[in-house]
Amino acid sequence: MAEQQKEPIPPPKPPEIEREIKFYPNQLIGLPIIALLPILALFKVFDSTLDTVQSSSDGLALSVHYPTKIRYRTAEPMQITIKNETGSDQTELDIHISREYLDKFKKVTFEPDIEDIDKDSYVVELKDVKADEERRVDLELETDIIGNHSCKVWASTEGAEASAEFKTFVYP
Amino acid sequence: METVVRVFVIYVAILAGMRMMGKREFGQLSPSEFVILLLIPEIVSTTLNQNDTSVTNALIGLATIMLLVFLTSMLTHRFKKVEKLISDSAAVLVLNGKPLQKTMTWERVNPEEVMTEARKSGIEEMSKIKYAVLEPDGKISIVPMEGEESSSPPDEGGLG
Repeated sequence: MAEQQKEPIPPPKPPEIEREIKFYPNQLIGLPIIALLPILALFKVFDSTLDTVQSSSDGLALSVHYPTKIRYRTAEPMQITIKNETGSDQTELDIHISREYLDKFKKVTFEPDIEDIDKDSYVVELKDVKADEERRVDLELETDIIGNHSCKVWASTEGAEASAEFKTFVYP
Repeated sequence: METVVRVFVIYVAILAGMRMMGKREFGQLSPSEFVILLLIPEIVSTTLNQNDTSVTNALIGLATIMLLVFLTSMLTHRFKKVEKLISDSAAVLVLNGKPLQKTMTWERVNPEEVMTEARKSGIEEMSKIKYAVLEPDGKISIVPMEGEESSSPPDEGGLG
């Protein structure tokens, strides 16, 4: 009587060889290069990063939270915070963001919206900024041009100005 | 970082899924070939269509899948247990001219499929098959009985 079959029958086994790992010379060069990319990515080397730069001058405290590294065709926020420490109310306080920088982005949104675009900058006007009051301007930047882009942000009111400079690198 | 994790998770999920589905589903492809062919276009199309269309993202995804495929083949070669875990083993469908019904049922192979492959080797009866083996890549190999050595099919385009 035939024996009950419990599992598939394997074909005759081939002879065993010593199982070891060896590399061709070109693999010894190529593999670390291929491995480098995911490893660096795991350590967030290619991730978008944000940083903050602060500046204080003439009674204006300026803080810019900006992207330091950003990938091509992705969007990242930028926040500009200004505090009026002049000791007096300001009827108008202008925030300038360098045009050379913003023109390198595909799409830029402002909150509050811009009032003016002059030769050097996009201008957001903040009205009636009271003494010790803090205001914020929010931007969203969608990248377009690869490379390292320099930016200058400056806040100005009558007789006072504060500025901050930084760079954003756009990955391919 | 997200790209590496996503590629890793999908690679393992597809590999595990294909391993469970069995040999018959692969057809002409080995499991790792299937995974490569499935994942590389996915990575590229994700790069083309979704939010992160950067070359950086595509290169990270591509390097990750290439590394995973290489590591898989390296580990399956080095460790028999890993080989067993990742690669399916071959199964005998016909032994000494007799069909192994249970194996055929487990592997979802019909006798006619075995005979189709046997005829390609010039064998017209199952009793003349020593081994019909369902290989890990889904193909059926035929070993004829001694004295029934397979003859190559006639060249259709030949002069005869």
